[in-house]
This record gives sequence, C-alpha cells and structure tokens, in this order.
Amino acid sequence: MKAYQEAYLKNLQQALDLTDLSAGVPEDIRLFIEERRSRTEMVRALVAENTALLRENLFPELDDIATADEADVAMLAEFAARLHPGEKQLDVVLAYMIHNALLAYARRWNKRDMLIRELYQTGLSLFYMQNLIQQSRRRLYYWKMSLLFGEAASYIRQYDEIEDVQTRGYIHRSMANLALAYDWSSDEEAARKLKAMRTSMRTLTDPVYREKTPDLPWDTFLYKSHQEFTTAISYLHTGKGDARLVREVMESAAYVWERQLENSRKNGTKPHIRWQMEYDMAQYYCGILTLTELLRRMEAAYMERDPESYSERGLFHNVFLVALYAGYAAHEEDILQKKEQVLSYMYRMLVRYVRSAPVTQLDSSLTRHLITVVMNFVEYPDGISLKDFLMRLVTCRAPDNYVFFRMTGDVAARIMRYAVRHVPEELVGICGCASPEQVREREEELAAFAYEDGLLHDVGSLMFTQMTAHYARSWTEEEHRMYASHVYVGQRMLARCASTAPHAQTAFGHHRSYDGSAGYPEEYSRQANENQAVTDIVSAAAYLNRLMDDASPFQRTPLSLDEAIDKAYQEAGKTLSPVFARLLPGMRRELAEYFADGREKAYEQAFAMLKGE
Amino acid sequence: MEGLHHFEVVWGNNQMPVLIFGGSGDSLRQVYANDRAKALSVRRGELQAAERMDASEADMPQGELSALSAPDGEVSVPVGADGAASVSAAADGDMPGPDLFGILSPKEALDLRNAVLSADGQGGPHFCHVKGKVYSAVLFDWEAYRVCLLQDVSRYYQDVRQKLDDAILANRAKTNFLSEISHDIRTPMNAIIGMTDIALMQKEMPARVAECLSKIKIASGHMMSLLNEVLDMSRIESGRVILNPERLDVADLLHEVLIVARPQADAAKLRFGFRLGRMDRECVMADGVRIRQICLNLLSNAVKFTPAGGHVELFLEVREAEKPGKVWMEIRVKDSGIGMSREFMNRLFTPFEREQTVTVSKIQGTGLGMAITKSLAELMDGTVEVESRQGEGTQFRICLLLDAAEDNAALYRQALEGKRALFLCAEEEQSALLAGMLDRLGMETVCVKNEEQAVYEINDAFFSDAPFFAFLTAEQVDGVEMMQFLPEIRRRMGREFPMLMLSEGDWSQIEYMLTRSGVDAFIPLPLFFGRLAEGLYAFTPEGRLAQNAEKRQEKWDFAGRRILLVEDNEINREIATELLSVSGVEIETAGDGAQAVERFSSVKPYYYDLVLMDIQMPVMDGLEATRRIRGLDRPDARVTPIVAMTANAFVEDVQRSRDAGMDEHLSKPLDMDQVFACLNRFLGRVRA
Repeated sequence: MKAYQEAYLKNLQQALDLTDLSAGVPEDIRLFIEERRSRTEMVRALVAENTALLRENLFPELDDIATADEADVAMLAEFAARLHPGEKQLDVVLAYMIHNALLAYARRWNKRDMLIRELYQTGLSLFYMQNLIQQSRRRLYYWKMSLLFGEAASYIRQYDEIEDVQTRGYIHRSMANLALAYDWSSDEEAARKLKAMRTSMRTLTDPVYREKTPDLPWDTFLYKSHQEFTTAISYLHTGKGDARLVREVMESAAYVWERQLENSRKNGTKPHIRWQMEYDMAQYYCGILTLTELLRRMEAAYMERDPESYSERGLFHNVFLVALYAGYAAHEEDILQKKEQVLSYMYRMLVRYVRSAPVTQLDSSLTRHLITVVMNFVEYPDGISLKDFLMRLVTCRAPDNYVFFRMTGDVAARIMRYAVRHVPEELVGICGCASPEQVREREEELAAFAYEDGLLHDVGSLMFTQMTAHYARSWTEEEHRMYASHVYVGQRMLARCASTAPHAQTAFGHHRSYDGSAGYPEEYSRQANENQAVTDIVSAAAYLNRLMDDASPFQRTPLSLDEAIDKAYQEAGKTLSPVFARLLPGMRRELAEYFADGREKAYEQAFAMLKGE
Repeated sequence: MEGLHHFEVVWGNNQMPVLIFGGSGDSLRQVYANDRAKALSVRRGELQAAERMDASEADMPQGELSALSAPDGEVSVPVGADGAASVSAAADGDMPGPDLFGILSPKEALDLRNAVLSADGQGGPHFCHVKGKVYSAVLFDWEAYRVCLLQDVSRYYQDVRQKLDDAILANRAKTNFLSEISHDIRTPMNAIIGMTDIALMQKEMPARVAECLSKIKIASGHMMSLLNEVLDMSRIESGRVILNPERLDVADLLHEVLIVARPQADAAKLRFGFRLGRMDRECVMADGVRIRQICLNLLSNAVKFTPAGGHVELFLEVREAEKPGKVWMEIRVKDSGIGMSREFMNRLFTPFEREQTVTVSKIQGTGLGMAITKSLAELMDGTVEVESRQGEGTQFRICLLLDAAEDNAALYRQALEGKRALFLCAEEEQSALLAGMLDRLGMETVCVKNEEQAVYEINDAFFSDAPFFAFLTAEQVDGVEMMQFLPEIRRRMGREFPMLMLSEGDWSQIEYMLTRSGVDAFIPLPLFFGRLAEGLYAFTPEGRLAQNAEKRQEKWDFAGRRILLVEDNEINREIATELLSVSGVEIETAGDGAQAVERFSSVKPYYYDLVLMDIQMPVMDGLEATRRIRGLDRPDARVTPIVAMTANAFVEDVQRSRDAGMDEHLSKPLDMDQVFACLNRFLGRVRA
C-alpha cells in the first residue's frame, strides 16, 4: 500500500482508540469532561489530516483511474480490502468508492476477471451499507446490489472461457449473494429472494461445476447458502410461506445444525446457539414443536449463556436471544402475559450486560442486536418501560449521546415553560389543550412532555454511533444520506410502545425545516403531527445544543450561547419555527444559567445511571 | 279581384296548403299590404272547390303541383302519370300566365315547387328562375293557407346582378391588393425581426436599449402574425390556397401543436389538457401545415379568451370513415373562457368580425382567425361546429375527411417481432397501453414499477436466456432516482443497449440531463404506436442500417467553438483532445491552473467559449485558477462557463468548486457522452 493509505488506516485506528473509553465509571466528572474534550480535539486533528490525505492523494488517483498503472490499482484494491475487513467496517463508504472506481477501470480496459471481482466487491460494500440502515426499512442500496451481483453472476454463461479459479468463485458467490439483494419484507420480495436462493443452490449442487472447478470451497459455499436459507424463518414468522418453503427451511436448518455438531465434535467446542435456535424454530414451523416447547428451549438456552462474554456468540446469547424470545412470545397473547416475569428478567439482565461491557463505545453488531431487542420490546404495565430501557442503553453505550439528548430535553422544557407564559395561544392543540387557559394550567405537564420529547428525539442516531464517533474524516454525500435514516429508525423504535409512541413524530420530523424547503425526511407532514409545536420546540432546542456541542469531532468550532441564539434567531421561519426561535433572545439569561453547568450535570446524571443509581 | 289572375296550391312542408298567386306588381303589393284578406275571400268558393278536388285526388303524392280551377275558368291542370303539370291562366302584364305554367316541363314545375317550398317559412323575398325570367316569391299566412305571391322582377334582378358583379370584381381587386401588400410588407418585417434578434444577442448593451429592442421584438412579432393572417385570408378569398396533401404522421402533427400550445397555456396560467380518442390510423394524407394552422388558431383563441385559472382542452381522434380508404379526423378545442353571445356566433366566421365587449376589445387580433379556420376546413371537405355560452366557455369541433395513408407497421413488426422490452412505469394505464402497442408488433413487454423490480427482471432475463431488446422508462417514477438509476443500467447493459424514455414535455429541455444518464432516445407522450415502433425499430439491425452511419458518428457538432482544456496529466489531455475533436470543437490546452489563467488573460474577450478544468493539479489547482479567472477584469471573466473534472468527492469539495465559481461538475473518468451533453448545454448544439 502507499504511504498515504497506511497513514490513513493508522489515523483511523488512532481515532478509534481515542473514542473508546475505558470501562467503568470515572470518579471525577470534571476530569472526565476535560479528557473527553482533549481527546475530541485530537480526533478533530485526525479528521482534518485524513480528509486532507484523501483529498490530496486518493481522489486524484480516483480522478485518473482510467490511466492508473496496475501497481496503483493493486494497491487501491488492497487499501479497500483493509477498510472493511470481513464484517468489520472501518470505513465501508470509502471502500465502496474505491471499488466503484476499480469497477470503472475494469470496464474501461475490458479486464473481465477484475470486472467480475469488483462487481462482487462493490456489491458487498453496498450490502454492508444497506445493513447499517436496515432498521430504517429504507431500501437505498438493494437495487444496485442486485444489479452488481446480477451482472457478476451472469458471467456463468461464459464459465468455460474463464480460467481463473478465483474469478469462477466470485461468479458463484455473486450468484448466492444475489439473494442478499432481496429481503422478506413482502411476498414479492420473498419470491425473488427464494428464486435467487434456489437458483444458486442448484448451481452449487450441480456436479458439472464441481468437476470443472474442483478447487473451489464448495462445501463452504453450500453451508453458507443453507445458512441464508434459514433466514426464511423470519418470513414464516409472519404467517407466510408454503409447505415447500417450510421443508426447505427445515432441511437447511438441519444441514447447518448437523455441520455445527460435527465441527464441535471435531474441535471439542460448543456449537453456536444461534443454529440450535434456528433448528428449533424450523421444527416449530414444521409442527414438530409447540410454541410453548420452543419458548422453553429458548429459556433453557438463555440460562446457559455466559453473561461476561462479549464475543459474537456471547452477544447472540445475551442480547439477540432476548429479542427472539420476545418476538415468539408475542405470537400468542396468553403466552405473552404468562412470560412477563421471564421477559422482565431478561431485560434487567440485558441492561446489566450492556452496562458491564468492556468499552463504553458501541460495536456495530452489539448495536444491531440491541436495536432488534428494541424493535421487539414488550412493555408490561408494571415492568420496565421502553423509554427507560432506551435511556439506559443509550447511557451505557453512548454517554455523549445521552448528554446531548438530556440537554436537548432540558432546554426544550425551558422553552416550553417560557412559551406557556408568553405565547400560550401558540400551544393550543398540543397534548389536548383546548385553550390558552388550559395551556397555562398544564404548564408542568407540558414541560415534562417537552423534556421527554427532547430526551427521546434522536434515539435513532444510536444506530449510527459508529459512524458519528469513529469516522475519522469528513463525510461524503453518501454518509449524509445514510445518516438521514436515523429519523426513520427513531420513529419505528418509539412508535411501537405506549410509553414512547407520543414522541415518535418528533423523532421523525426534527430534521425537517420549518418551511419545508430543506432537511429530511421529505414525507414528514407537519399537519399530521398533532403535537407539532412540541416538535418545533425540540427542534429549536436541538439546533441550539448542536451549535454549542463540543463533543463531536465533526462539528465546526462550538459557538457561544449568544452566537448560537443569534444564529437560531436568523433561522426563524426557515429552519426553525418563527414562534419559538424568536423566543430565544428573551431567554438568554435563563439559558446562560443552564449552560453554565448543564453539560457537567448531564454527564453526572449519565454516570449515575451507569452506576445503576 | 282586380289584377289577380292565377293561383296554384301546393302542399307546404307542414302540410299546410300553399296558394300561389301570380299578378302585377301593384295588385300584388296591394294584396300583400292592404287587402289580402278581402282579396282572398273572393276566392274562398274556388278554394273550397280546390280542396274538394284535392280530397278526391287523395292518392296523389303529397306536395305535387296539384290541379286547380282558375278564376276565369281557363285553368285546367291535368296531372299526367309522369307527374307533369300543365297550368294555364290568363296572361296579364308581368304576372305569370299561361306562358309560365303552360310551358313548364316536369322538371321546371318541380323546381318552381321546390323554390316555393324552400321559401316557405323562411321569410322573403326569394327568387324563382323560370324561362329566363326571375320571379320574386313572398309568402304569408292566410286563414288555413299559406299564400305565395309571385312577381316578375326580371329587370330589377338584372340591375342588381350587374351591381353585384361589379362589387365582386372590386372586392377581388381589393383582396389582390391586400394579398400583395401583405406579402411585400412581410419582407422588410422579416428583416426587422432578424436584425432585432441579432441586436439582442450583443453583450453589454445599455439596459434602455435592450428594453427597446425587446419591445420591438414583441411588437414586430405581433405585426408579423397579423400580416400572415391577412395574407392567408386574402389568399383563401382569391382561391389561391391550394392544399398540399402529403403523408402526415398524426403524432408529429400533435407534437408540433402541443409544443406551441402548452407554453401559451402555461404563460396564460391555464390548465392545459389533452385527450386522445380513437386512433384507427396514425398516418393520413393531408396538408399538415394547414391542419396545424387550424389547431393552433383554435387553441390560441381558446387561450386568448380564457381567463387565468381556467382550462383549455384539446381532443384529437382519427377514425375510419364509411368510405373505404377515408378517415375522419376530429379536432375539438374546449375552453372554460368567456364564451360568445348568440348574436356574435352568427357572425363568428365572417372576416374581421370581433365581439364588442370590454374583455374582447382588450385582446389583440384581426378577427380573421375563425374565418380562416372555417375556410380551411371547408377546403378539406370538413365541417366546423361551435357550441358556446357566455361566461361558460366554448367548444369548437372540426371534422375533416381525409385519405388514410399507409404506415410502416409491417416493416417494424418484421424487425421487432419476438423481442422483449422492459418498461419501468408506475402507472398501470400507461403500462397497459404500451404493452398493447408492443403486442401489435409481436413483442413481449415486462412492466415493472420500481428499480428493484427492474433489476430483478434484468437479472432474470440473463439467467433464463431471454434477454431484453430494450429498456423503456417513464420520465419520472415515484421513489426512483432516475439520475442514479439510468447510468447504472447503461453500465450494466452496455453502450449498444437501447434505452428509451417516454417524455411528455419538450425533451430538448431535459435532453442534456437524460442523455447524460444513458438515455438514447425519447418517445413523446401521448403515446402513438407509430412513434413507439419507429423509436424501437431504429435500434434493430435493419433500423441501424437504414440510418446514416456517419450522422450517428457526428452526433455532436461544435464547429466554430473553442474550449480551453486544463489538465496536468498528459495522457488524459491527449485522450480528451482526441475524443473532443470529433465534434469539431477547437481545443487549446493548459498543463496547470497557472497556465490556464495566463492563457485566458492573454486572449481577447470571449475567445474561449468554455473551460474544462481539472481540480487536482501542480503549481496551481483548478479551484484557485477558477477564482483567478473569475476575478479578472474583463467582460468574459464571470460568464465563461468553467466545468470541473473530478472524481466523487466530499460534499464540501463539490461545494468548494461551486464557491470558486465553477458552473458544472463532470466525473472522471470522462464519459464522452456526458462531456458532449455538458458542452451542448453551454455551447448549444447542432445535430448533423
């Protein structure tokens, strides 16, 4: 690799180290904040350095990719591979950009083998990018994945002309990965996914291909294809699928489970609990197991977990299994009620598990699992509410985020009180208030609502903590586009439980400008939000807070309160609601008092929660 | 009764008997004016006799000239088996006498009867020509009868006729004069318009002069249209308009009409609707220029007389006529405008007539448009109908009887049969229409509604060995980012794969963007079978052969334009120079930003039409070079387009290039189609 590539990767790792805080709770909050600030400064310097490295070195190379020499191309390929080794995604978007350029190079010079490889690699980068936004249900990259994998797979018609074994392998992998370009979200999608899986399976089991290319890892290909087939369980879970699919899923689950058992016998290790669960679930859909028996097996499996394991298996056991259990328990209302204690216990253990994690920053697979738990969360009347659960998770995993949420909530509550006193007529309609008098009477309740709205408004960003905290460079347009998905995730998270549902609209609309000319999502409707005034207040509070935030390495130099208020005031009627943005200058003194130690107090609160207080 | 010598009875249209009297001028006038009841009562007994006779002749065909008794007993009207009537009466001065009725041939008798019947109820006077004489017929009702008085007015008629002929000759002379003077005035008007356009293109013109020129342009344009109408009308009146029927593609006609009418309606803030009726034939033999003129006359009238916020609708249909080989083309233009009074509708098609209302008098026009329209329609064996209500709107309906023309359906089908097309469109109706048309060509259509479905079908086609021949797409599909999706399809399917877009608008406006995205051609909406088939045929081997290969190679022509290519990489510079030179554009190069600034500064203003600027360069980068060029004190420094050439970059980099003063951004490696499309946007294009 070239020196700038090495330097970039080194800086990336350094930024990761700087943003990873040690386990445990700091004794002195002030020291902690100071250290945090100085680390942020260092990360900021790395961001600037890495951005310059790319601008001065990588982009000119990509500019002139058509005339690049083969050595440069090989180094670029290696650099891209290092940016997302396996499932680790150090910088997947940059990797995607490089693969895309290499793809253009391969097309330009008609390098068929390279073209097939880069089609596969670019498609795979997109798969990881899609994975990052998966919980938003946005389908930004599916069609392109399908196009790229499909093109690579279509070279199967020239199979005999292609001599390179690896290239033939990419054709088979692309054929199998075509299934990744579809999901189980609709019958139409499911039909396509099934067709892709069946076609791939047919090729992999065709002795002709094995004979032609005996050196390929056929068994691994087949094993992974069976694993992919078991994802159809989520489709069966929705009550869809025919007998043929049930049989295929059962066969695949059995195949994978048997291989797991075989390997564990051979290696003396325990089989992965995930595949045991998949096997049990397949049996349930075949009618071999009852729901009660399936849940009993899950409980038994859960009790065998290692609560101190944070390996991929440990995460599945301690986190994902909880989501799975809640999802199946919710199949029948009676069973769900009977399992209240079990689920409550699991949630308590989960919070403890997350709190005890060795690093306070987020690992992407843990995040994904946690969000799956949230998306399957069951709220019992006397049990833990989703709101509390979420806050504990956010605090544990991203204290800086918690501080930002908390401060937004605090400022929103203050704006709300001020508005109740000065412009109560603007608040009529929110939370069922029918008149300015009612607004005044319910000041406390409205302030509490605004606080919670502020606290929860950005929970969707939890999914992007890795991107916001670790990306040691400026963002590209693609990253902005991906990050916009957090409002969809936030809305989905909050909308599913009674304690959080009233705040879902703010989670969805807080980035949409008041005049509708900018921001996202475009489909957000002010008219559809019955508490729009609260969303406007939270948007103003978050805007102010963001301008003053010193915890993010991507922010420009934080502004003072006066500067931030002036800027917010200028945005009245554009980004922000004119009603509430124009209240801010009148709140200068009050806000100055709050910001004097607000951040510190928010950190104190976060660490108190971390201690379990 | 003195002076009344003869009468006849025929049966009127409403079966009321009509009494026909002949007499001298004075006696008739007296009867008609003063004494008709009295005069006629004298004949009552005779009339009754006539009725009795009539009853006895009940089997006689109704309306035949019947036999009557004459007052002097001299009339005998035997009706022969052939229906011939012979009437005799005493002759007296200028009244019809035996000379008239006695010598009528059956045909003349029938003509006379018809003349009287046609006058029945229509008001008078009416003239009957018999044996070289002219009789006026005046009708009025008397008791249960209708009375017709015939008077010989031959002398008077001849006098009037002479005067009329003189007037016609004079009018013809005036028409010829108008025609010639209009034609002669058009020549200098063309010069005024042309020179105004040239003057308007001058840079750095004082604002006041520019304003005056703009007004001259508008006024001269208006004057030209008035002249054209006068010329047209005078040509029509002098019979000098000869239709030039040619093979006319209805889709072409419609497209040409719509690209004029839509902007007019938009400018007047009207909703414009279009409906296509049956389209039994898409090719006809007709004078396209004149039909377009009819359509545009109707539409521009509709736009003129419809207040903002209203709507104008055009309907077009071509249906088989009863006669083999003939078709009816029906054009309807409906508006929600101010409508017309009944009184004005009677004069609607009279030249120079305009309704005199406050609203109308504010609208400019000659009042010739409708007269021209009607005349042209009649020249084409057509009819014009109009329905209108004041304050509610107007609908014109024109039906033209035209010859059907042969189309190329068989040729297209031969080349396209068995091929598959993929169509991306979210609207089911449009998809079904297109699929139906392709079915007529023997093609299979796979309709998809989003990009995921489209890609799935493309993949599936490869695996099932049933590749698509072409990809068709709607211009916009909800949720699909066309500018991202289409280039990917182009890359995937290769350069030769036909990609066509259905477009409703004037695609010259969007051509730049979409050709850049990989679209090869546009199919205009509303969708016509012929257009669609022709569009696809062009990409078949047969179609490609039929095209001039050289023309395709020389798609872009920027001859006479000059660009400065700023690129530090020598190979890139050479490649770009070579590729760009095929368009005829003159290329000068610079190896870095500093050289570019120096070169730009040293040449005369407007020497370069465009600068293609690399960003990353030694000595001075493209951003700095752009800033310096923009900062130069010369008239072209701020207006010469500067186009950046970079790869995908950070958002702020793209913004930075814009902040530096660049106008556009091209991705590297350069796709020449994209480059040419970009050049076209700034330099204008001439298609070879």
